[in-house]
Amino acid sequence: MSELRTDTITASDGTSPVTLTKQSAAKAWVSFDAYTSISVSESFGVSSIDDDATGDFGVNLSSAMSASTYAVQGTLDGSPYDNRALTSATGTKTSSAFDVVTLNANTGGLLDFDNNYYLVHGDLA
Amino acid sequence: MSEIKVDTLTGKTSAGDITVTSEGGAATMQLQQGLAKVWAAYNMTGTASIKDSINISSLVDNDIGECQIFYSNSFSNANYATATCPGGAAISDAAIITLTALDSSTPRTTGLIRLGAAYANSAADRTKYDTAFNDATFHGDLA
Repeated sequence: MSELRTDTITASDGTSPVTLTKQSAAKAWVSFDAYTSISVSESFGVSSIDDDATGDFGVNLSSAMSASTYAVQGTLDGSPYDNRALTSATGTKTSSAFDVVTLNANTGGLLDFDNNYYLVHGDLA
Repeated sequence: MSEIKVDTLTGKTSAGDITVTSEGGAATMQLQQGLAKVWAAYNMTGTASIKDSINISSLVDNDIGECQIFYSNSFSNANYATATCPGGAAISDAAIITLTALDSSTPRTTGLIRLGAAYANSAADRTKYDTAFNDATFHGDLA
């Protein structure tokens, strides 16, 4: 087996990104608690979370994406409802931030949940 | 275009830290941080089974709509981010099904997580359902 040891991988021109054959790395992910107050448990590529209102949050990215057409995935669980927790993007999305809401699927009311997870895939600027 | 064919990439200064340049060239990021550490596509109808996956050692069917996923390589802590999506041909398009981590009853650990599928728009506290198509992707730091 061959092994390459290096600290940085760049394309042969010295600046462009390398191509990972048929693979793509997530550009940001975050795990945060919003049930009592905003608390980020762990993250990558996320600078901060805005608490805009009950069940309404802004996720700010450390490094900007090349456009606002990147993909966001989100999941909730934990208090107050494991099974009725839904999240969706609000459409307020820039290259460096996106807005999400979290709600009770049974009533449609916005709620704060204690486990919020979001992933971002796309191209960085 | 130049191409290096190699089986393993390891950080020279720190084994788990390789920096790559962004698509636009304006930023750099750690390659390892962006890689999904676990993903799975699995079925809970009948005998629960994994269709395809990475870094999963086993799937245990705990109950209707509930399975425990065990990792081959553990995370460094239990704060990893999870994204899930349930589905199934027998489910009405009007139904809202969620697939969530059951952390309240079975807290996730560095080595396992318990996921449950249920109707979210049911007045009952939890109406569990064995969904046929369950997709999960987890990001975080491996041990």
